[in-house]
Amino acid sequence: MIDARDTLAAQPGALADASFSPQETALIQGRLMLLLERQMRLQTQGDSASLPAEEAEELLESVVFTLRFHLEANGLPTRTMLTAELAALFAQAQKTLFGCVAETETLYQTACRTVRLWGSRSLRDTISAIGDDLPFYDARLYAHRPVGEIDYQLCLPVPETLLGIEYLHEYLRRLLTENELLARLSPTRVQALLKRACPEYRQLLQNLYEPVAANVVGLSLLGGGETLLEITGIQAERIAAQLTALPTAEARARLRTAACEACQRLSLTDAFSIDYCGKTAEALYPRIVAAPGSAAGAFAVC
Amino acid sequence: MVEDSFNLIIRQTQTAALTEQLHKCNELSTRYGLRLTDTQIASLSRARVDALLESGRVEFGVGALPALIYAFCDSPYIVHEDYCQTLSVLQDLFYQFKNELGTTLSDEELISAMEQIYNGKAQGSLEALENATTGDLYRALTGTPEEEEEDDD
Repeated sequence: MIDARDTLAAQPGALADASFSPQETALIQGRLMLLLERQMRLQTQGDSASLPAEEAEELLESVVFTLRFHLEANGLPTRTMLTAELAALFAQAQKTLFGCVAETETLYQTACRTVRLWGSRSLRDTISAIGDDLPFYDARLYAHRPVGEIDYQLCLPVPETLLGIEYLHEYLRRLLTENELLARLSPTRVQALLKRACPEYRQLLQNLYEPVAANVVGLSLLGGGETLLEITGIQAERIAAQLTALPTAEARARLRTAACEACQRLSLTDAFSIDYCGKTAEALYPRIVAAPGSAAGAFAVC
Repeated sequence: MVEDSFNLIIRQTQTAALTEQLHKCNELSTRYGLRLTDTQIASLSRARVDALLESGRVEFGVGALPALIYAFCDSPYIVHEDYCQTLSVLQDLFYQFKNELGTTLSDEELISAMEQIYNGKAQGSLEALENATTGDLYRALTGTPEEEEEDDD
């Protein structure tokens, strides 16, 4: 017999919280089993009353994921699972998930139209793989399963706690955010910078945003001229000196501010883009101050 | 333990439903001289849980036993003395075959194929049924004759 507790515990976020009493947990398990029975009937199309335990567990995982996604998306407390009629709640949760699927499809179409590949093989393959897989995503029965084989590495990876379409949605959102910055700069200069940062970037799983964002932030720290994307070794040392003179927290804050100012100058005004660039900038700090001369590596100097 | 209460509830609920179903099955099987006692019904219910655990399957509803009884109770090879034991083995074989066949045969089709083999070429031998291949089951279901082995001479 399968135990819903394992599936609940394995789910990140809302449903894994330990605020349920043992009696409440047992009640939720019972309610989930009724949903599982329905999902099993759907999966087997009524041909079989039984399934291998692993398959049943996967169906249960999908049910729990769908409910969690709905509760989090609507800011509902986990205890809703105890008070609401679960079949109705699940139907609503599926609608929420289908909404996310539609949004993700729109994001994907936008990515196909707007994301520049810069010759990156992993980015090209990833976009292609998502396109191949997305039409077959089964939100009804296997909502938690990953969609598409994603090779291309983002500068700020999507948390592994996200599953299924939720993961892909966030991945595409971040990919488009990264692309927004690159699209505001001269393609020739971006290409030159990418080659300086990693001559083999086309063949490798190299993120394209990070070296560009680093130089944008670096130039912002020097007072502007972000669109040039060029930082000399001497300038890199000046940036390092500027930051090492500050206490760590202050230096990190300075990097975030520089990122924010750069975004404004590049007309990147949405909060997510600014925050994304700010986090990327902060992540530069340990690399810049690691050792004398290390800033040159952090900024792909020319 | 409270933690395991749900699995317990499920088993109890299913067992109660299965017991009721098996009593109903007795009404039909009695026509063929076959009848399960209350003790045997309880024993078969427990055997079902064991068979599911053994085969690593999860099942809702009353399971395959009632359908097996309906399909096999008119078999000339089943006698009252072995009835319960035969059903228990058939139940084990059912879940075993389900694992081997995946989703290619429905429950109904599998039971029909098992019945064809048992009453046909196996002539009531559970051992022969156990040795049936997936190909034998498909052939039994579709009524396709087994290809004769080619003579090398």
